[in-house]
Amino acid sequence: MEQEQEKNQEQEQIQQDGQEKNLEQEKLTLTTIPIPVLDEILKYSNTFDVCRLRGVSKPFKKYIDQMDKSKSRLYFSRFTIKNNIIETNRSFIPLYARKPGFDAYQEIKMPMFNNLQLDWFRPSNIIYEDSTIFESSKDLKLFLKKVKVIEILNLKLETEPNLREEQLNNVCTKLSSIEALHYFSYDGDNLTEQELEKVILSLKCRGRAFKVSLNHHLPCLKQSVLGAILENSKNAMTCIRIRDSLTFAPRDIRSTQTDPIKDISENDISVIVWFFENYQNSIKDKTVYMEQCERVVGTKIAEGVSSQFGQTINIDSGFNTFRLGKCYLHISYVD
Amino acid sequence: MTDAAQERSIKLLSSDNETFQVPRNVIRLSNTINTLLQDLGLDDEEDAGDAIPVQNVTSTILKKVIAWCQHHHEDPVAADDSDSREKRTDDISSWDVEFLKVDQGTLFELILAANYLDIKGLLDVSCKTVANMIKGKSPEEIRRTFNIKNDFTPEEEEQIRKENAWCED
Repeated sequence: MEQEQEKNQEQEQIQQDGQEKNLEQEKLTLTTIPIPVLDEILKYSNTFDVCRLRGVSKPFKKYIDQMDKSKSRLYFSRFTIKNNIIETNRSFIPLYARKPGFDAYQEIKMPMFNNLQLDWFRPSNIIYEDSTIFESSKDLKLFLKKVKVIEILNLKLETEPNLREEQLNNVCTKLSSIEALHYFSYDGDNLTEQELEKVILSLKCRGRAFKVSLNHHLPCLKQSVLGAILENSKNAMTCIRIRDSLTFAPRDIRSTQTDPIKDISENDISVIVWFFENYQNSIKDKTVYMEQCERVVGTKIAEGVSSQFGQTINIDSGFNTFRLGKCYLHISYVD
Repeated sequence: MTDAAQERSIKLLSSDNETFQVPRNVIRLSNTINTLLQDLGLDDEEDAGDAIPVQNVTSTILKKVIAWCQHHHEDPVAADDSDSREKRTDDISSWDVEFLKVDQGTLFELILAANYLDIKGLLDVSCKTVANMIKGKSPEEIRRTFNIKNDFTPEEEEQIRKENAWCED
């Protein structure tokens, strides 16, 4: 430790000397190195650092604003979070993640909260096997904190029955003790409904936002399970992914003339079922599905149609503002 | 390059006219020099002739570059994986950390030299070092570290601060 401190001090001293030297004579500095070389350096900087660098001086701001993001893979988009509302100048908010073992963040070129992309955040059963990646990543933690995702669990159970039960119990214990927001994902085919129910009921994130990724058909879930999800979702944004479709909770300001959830108070849970346009007339159990949701929620649910089949239906375009911290449950459905 | 060629040396002439005799198997890390020798048909020549001018690199920096190549010339050749190049900055070897404990001017000169001579390993490690100096710092801290003048007006600074609010604590 002492050695490390000494080394750091030594390094700082050298840097300080360098700064003084820079003042004394015309030396190369970060501001005078050629752009291609700066590009090389920024390849190793994460987006947060690039963002901060943008605020250092006008030349940096100009340079970073004009960066070829597609090539550099560093993406910069302005957005702010104010009063729990994210505003961005783009149709989606970029997410950044890093793969296990890597330090730099990479842009996730998908809309925010796209579960498929959030899967990137699953290094390897992160809570109980390796949380160090997140712990060592101040920036990522900060960002996840901003978007109210703090811990992420990828649940994939063992196949051996005893191990499976033990693992499931451990996971449930862990889940029940965590009060922070979670992104919860599991291999839907790998869990029985009973196991799924046990896991979901152990979620104690009441009052907090959390994400649940369910590779399950929602109506397959018991009412009590769905009820638990919804209960946990109070005052929270909830995302539920059903099969490959993404569900999300923003109000759709794009495709509806009237806001289907505008009259619902913040303490209510609203359910809007979005059907892909291509499918809306062919879904045989559409009514059953809607009724199931209504029974669970105990209120009339709204219905919407998305034309973006094959894409994330809700925030793929047109969403400039959406809300966090409200309890809109947005369910997309495709059979 | 043949084994015999690897045992030979070449002369490099720095921008301030200092000549350095460098084993070919050491300077092979420079793609620029390699290509030059090949293009001139000197790759297999016993005597590469006159010193090769390295016009953009001073003797002080060239000496450092050669020292780096000397230390790393037996390293396994890294795969040219542009994806993984940008991943980590915490994998700098302790030798390189010590090697790069230089003032900023020298560090940037080294980066330029590595860029000019196309020495990928040196370029990577020196860029990572600078990236680490930026990492986690606020704009003001970056200014202090690199002695950069804040040329924003207070209004501009406030605007940027707002824009950057998402990445600040």
